[in-house]
Amino acid sequence: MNPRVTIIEHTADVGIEVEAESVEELFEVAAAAMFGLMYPRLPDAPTEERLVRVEGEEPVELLVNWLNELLYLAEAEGLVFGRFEVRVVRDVALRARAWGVRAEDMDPPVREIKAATYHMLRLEKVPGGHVARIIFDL
Amino acid sequence: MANRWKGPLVRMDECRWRIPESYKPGMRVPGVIYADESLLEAIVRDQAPEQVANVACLPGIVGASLAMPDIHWGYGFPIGGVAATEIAAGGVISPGGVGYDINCGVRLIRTELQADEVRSRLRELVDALYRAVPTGVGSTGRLRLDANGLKQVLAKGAQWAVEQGFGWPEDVEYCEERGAMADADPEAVSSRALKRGSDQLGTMGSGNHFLELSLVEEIYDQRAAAAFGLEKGQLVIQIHTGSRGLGHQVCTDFLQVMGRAVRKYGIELPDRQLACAPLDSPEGRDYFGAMAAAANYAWANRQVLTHRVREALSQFFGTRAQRLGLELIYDVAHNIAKIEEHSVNGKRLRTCVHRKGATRSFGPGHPVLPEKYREVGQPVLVPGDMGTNSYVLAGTQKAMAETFGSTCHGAGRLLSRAAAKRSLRGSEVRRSLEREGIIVRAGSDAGIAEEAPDAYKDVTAVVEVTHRAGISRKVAKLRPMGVIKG
Repeated sequence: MNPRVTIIEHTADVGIEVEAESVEELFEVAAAAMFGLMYPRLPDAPTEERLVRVEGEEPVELLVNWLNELLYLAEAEGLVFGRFEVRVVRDVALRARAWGVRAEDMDPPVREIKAATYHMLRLEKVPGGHVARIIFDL
Repeated sequence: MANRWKGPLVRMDECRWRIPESYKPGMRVPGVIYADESLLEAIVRDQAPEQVANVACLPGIVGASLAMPDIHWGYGFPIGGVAATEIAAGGVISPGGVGYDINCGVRLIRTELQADEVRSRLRELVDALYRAVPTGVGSTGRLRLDANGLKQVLAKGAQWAVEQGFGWPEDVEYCEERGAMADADPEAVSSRALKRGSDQLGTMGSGNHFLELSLVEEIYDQRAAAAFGLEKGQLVIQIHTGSRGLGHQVCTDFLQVMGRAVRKYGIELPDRQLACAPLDSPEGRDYFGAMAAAANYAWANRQVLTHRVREALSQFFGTRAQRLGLELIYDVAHNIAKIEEHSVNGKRLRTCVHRKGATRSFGPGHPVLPEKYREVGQPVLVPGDMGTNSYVLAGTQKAMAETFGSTCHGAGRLLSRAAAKRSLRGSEVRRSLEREGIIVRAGSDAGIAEEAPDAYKDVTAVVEVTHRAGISRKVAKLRPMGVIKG
């Protein structure tokens, strides 16, 4: 299964549906898609790297916590991430590296994402890979 | 991706529709939607009514799960939803019933200026305000606060700002809660939320937030308008923003806490985004304290912005802000939960009222209202979308009886943001607004398209329903002249 992202519409907000072969890849693609919603051109020559550790009580919570952790880091440290490497441990914890640039080196974002929500959240194993749906609060 | 909602709606009267309690298992009270036939048609196009029914499942909910006419599909709660839970009966508080932008709200500032006096210099005036007010995603202000300073903000809200010189002492009198909820618990706010809040005080942010110069185009209720200090032809200023990243982080933090609390207290919910805990539990009290602290940050934020506006106008007109009459009319919160007493089936109950995209609408005589407004009811500020009218309403006794003292908050989204952007180009929207004499300044044209007038329901239709239903009363119509979009 090749990784694929579909942007989905929601009256007040916006979401993504992601397909990927492995959970790790799915988390990486979802993160890139989330930053892509804010910045149509993601940074391609990263100057910053962050190590990220996240836990959740179940896999869907891990996905939401991962995306919200990145939103937190981006806003608190003034960064824009564009590339990710994720290692999921026991379904409910992950270690990752995220690469990006300082926000001031980018064009302004086209929209703000406040958070990844639990609304209509989905993360499932399907034949050939995994699929997820996440709705963001704008 | 939205499907049309096909559940039952029973007409109660001209403006109210009931979702019977029998519609789905777990509903503890009926749902009631305020709408006329044409607004209802838009409402059932997606799943917002299902969310009204889901909210009716919250433990301790009393009366009905209410939806204002600007209701649209949110996450967990619908936007435009009102729900009150009885605290003594194990009633819950839900971060999803407040939303990520805690105490997103509006304030209205009057002026002694006539709109006609500024028309010839409008573009320069809008530019001067644009320079004074930091806007856009992740915008930062001139204030930098350490954790101790921030905790003062979280405890004292608008009063903190006034003490620092950002405003006039009387300003706090004209804010809901006098600009600070007394139950705020700064210690319940995480260090991450504090970090996000450290440099954003005095900033507008992005999305549907804005600052608007408006003309008072029409007065419907002379007595209330006089009490509010409004007259036809006058220039007024609206500020619409909230608690910024600090509030978003409080919501994110507590959705996790509440997810665990739901299991701990054995609460069954139809939607995880409704995660909640009894208000009278450690988790419930912590969230309420943190939410109130974030709400106070929002009041301080709008207060600092008010000061920036006064500075900018004072400099622009070369005279003191007092001489320009830049008095605060009122400041309302439209994403919040509060502890209030209400009568339900003839009994006075202490309730936790969630207003998510709904505005308090306390009627005449309510003891918490400023003396000046006590005879006419509180000012209710209903911003339109960019380029359309806004309304000033007054709270009513009927709202006290029917809606836990609540009414609508705005126009209500009709098109998804993506659909809006596809069908409306920002540059075209800007030009069409300018043809109508409305000056727009914004960080990006994409942002303008997402918030364009056609993306929203007609605010006039929304306000008319609340007026006819009697849950708020029309006082004045405002027409935009200059908009600074976040």
